[in-house]
Amino acid sequence: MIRLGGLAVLLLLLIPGCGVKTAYLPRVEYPYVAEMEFLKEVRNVDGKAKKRHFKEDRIASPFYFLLKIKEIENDGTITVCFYGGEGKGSNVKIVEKTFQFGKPGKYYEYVIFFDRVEVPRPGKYRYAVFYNDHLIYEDKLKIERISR
Amino acid sequence: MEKFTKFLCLKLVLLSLALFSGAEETLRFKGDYFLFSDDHSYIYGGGNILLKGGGRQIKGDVLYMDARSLTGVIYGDVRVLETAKKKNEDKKYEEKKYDAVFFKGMPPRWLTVSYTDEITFGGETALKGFFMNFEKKPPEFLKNSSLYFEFREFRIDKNQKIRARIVVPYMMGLPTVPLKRFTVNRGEWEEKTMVAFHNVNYTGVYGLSLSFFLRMREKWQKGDYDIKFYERKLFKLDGVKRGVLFSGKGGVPVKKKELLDYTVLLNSGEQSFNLRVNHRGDFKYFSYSLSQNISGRENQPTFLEFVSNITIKKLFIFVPGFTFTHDWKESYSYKVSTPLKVWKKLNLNVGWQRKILAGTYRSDTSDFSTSLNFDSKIFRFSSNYNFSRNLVEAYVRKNFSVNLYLKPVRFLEDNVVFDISSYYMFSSLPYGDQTRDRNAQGLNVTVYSEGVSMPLGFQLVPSFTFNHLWDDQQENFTDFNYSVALLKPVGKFTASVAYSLASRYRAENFWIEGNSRQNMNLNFEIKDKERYSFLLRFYYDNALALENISLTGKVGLPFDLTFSSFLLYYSEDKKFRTVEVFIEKAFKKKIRIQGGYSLALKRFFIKFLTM
Repeated sequence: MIRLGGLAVLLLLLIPGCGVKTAYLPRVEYPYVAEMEFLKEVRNVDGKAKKRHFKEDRIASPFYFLLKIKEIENDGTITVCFYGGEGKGSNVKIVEKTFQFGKPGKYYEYVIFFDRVEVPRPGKYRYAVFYNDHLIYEDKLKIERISR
Repeated sequence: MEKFTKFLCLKLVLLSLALFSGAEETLRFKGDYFLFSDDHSYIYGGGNILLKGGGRQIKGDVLYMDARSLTGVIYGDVRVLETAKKKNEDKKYEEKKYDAVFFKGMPPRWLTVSYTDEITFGGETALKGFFMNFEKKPPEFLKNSSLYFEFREFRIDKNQKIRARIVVPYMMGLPTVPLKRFTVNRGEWEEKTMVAFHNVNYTGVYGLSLSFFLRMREKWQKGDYDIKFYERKLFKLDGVKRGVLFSGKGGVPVKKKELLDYTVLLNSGEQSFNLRVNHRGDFKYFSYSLSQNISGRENQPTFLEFVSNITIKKLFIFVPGFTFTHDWKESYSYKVSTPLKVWKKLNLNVGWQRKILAGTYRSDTSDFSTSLNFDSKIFRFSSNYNFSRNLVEAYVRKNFSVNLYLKPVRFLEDNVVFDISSYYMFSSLPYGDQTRDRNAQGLNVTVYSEGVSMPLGFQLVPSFTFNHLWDDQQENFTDFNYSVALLKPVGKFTASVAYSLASRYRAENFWIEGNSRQNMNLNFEIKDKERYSFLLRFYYDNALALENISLTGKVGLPFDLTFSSFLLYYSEDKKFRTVEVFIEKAFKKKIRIQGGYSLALKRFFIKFLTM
């Protein structure tokens, strides 16, 4: 009886899935931003990112951003732009960092980019990440103070 | 025949209008990949995104969408085409390009954003606040849900019902059988009487549980309830083996107004119940409430309490209220109180209460209490005063306190932080036939640093705490706590030495007596975030003699398994106090299963743990 019950459950599970073609199944093919960190310092030590964090996550300028993008194929360009800072409510681009990456025909599970950024004054900023000139992510950023 | 043709045409027009208006109430998405997390009610999409709805067709590359609030954004090479034409308009719309389109609500409102040398906005600029704060949840984060779905197309209506085709459900991160069609009800449940499956969960409190949602929407009764069947014994949890928990709140409406509302909790496992019934009224100058609470547990007497309250609507800065409480026996209390909002950051509360207890323990007290709170950018201040007179035994209790807390002050680029707080307390309590007064005042100063870089890659983390207490009885002491740690990281290896000293100095007439305790740790750690971590610790006692050695280790194994070990060796006994080795498997940050051997327990074990 128990075996028959188990078989019935198995059949109930399998029947709805019958006839589903693999071509219709979802596939992750587009890169996405998995992580964006703002750090006091990042160094490349033997191919690994060595990080120094800000105390209590109070970000000060100059700072480093560390961007991790997953599911990337071929070669291309990543651009990170920072906006704001020129007075209250300003939306002017003040920093642009561009990175070339990859080789044609290659797949990368993830790629990490980092660079140093300096902004003129404390306040609210916005950053945007472009993959081959297409925006893939953007968010806000608060700079607490300027280090001398 | 002509009539029939006209009727048919009219029907077709009405049908097309209905379909058109229905389309406005639905968002249709297509793309290479969508992920819906049931825990977060959030959708991520990537690759060739196409959104149709709200009179627009939008193409883009990436979608982030909160299904609960029906808010989202499409990023990428976004192309927007108006599809809904206005009445009598013959205009052909052109495709427009943006970097992002934010949408909100149903039918959706739109905000377009372009990132060039400047961020420029179009559409409804009133949505800028939403643009500023919309939270993006990446697929990695969403995949930590206990249940999520992957698919290539879906539609979502104003009731947040998500209908998707060719869906692959993932339970605890494992793919299950693909489904041709799938519907998920999100957000608000429908406004009708219904029973629905809610979830399967595992917690340390209830073990494995299966929950159902019961909604009552009848003329005589409205309510939302949770019915939870739980099993604890199977997972070797102590206490109640299994049971059913029924909880929720509801109301009895009369002429569209709620006559009574209630909360209910029944637990068959613990043999307990609690029911609270309330009635509220609101008039121009006052509001009132009547409440009856009844609760009980196996082998314990039933508890009954009736509470009534009347609150006068605001009189200048006063909001006076009167509360009467009765247990349907001989005990009762009445209370008059008023909060006073003197200034937006200054609050005063004044109240008086008479409490009469009868039965085996008799008492009759009259209590007067005030509290004052002030919160500013630099400091926080609070003060309380209580005066209580026992009218049966004719004694008085008094206490008064003042607290002042300065908000942290930071120096040297946040490397040094000062925390200062002080207090004063006075109390007068009965002690036999007399009263005993006590004054106490204290000061607490904490100075700490989260680490200072030193030459040769060393890091120094000092901390100092000063605490002084004085009162007019006997206590008059000062505590000093110092700690300092020196770290030296070399690649994956970190060596550190941490020393701490705690001292107390007490004034005794002309003498000052003091004592102190110290300890030291010597730590060696090797760590690879993804694969392994080992920590070897030497602990030195007050005489700075070696007391014990411990070793904690973790190694990542295939199939998300982790091997863990813990060893503790006491140098005085010259033997191991415990050795524990076990293998652990975590399921999507929800449940951990451990199996191994413990020398302290002298047995093999299997444990289920929540995370």
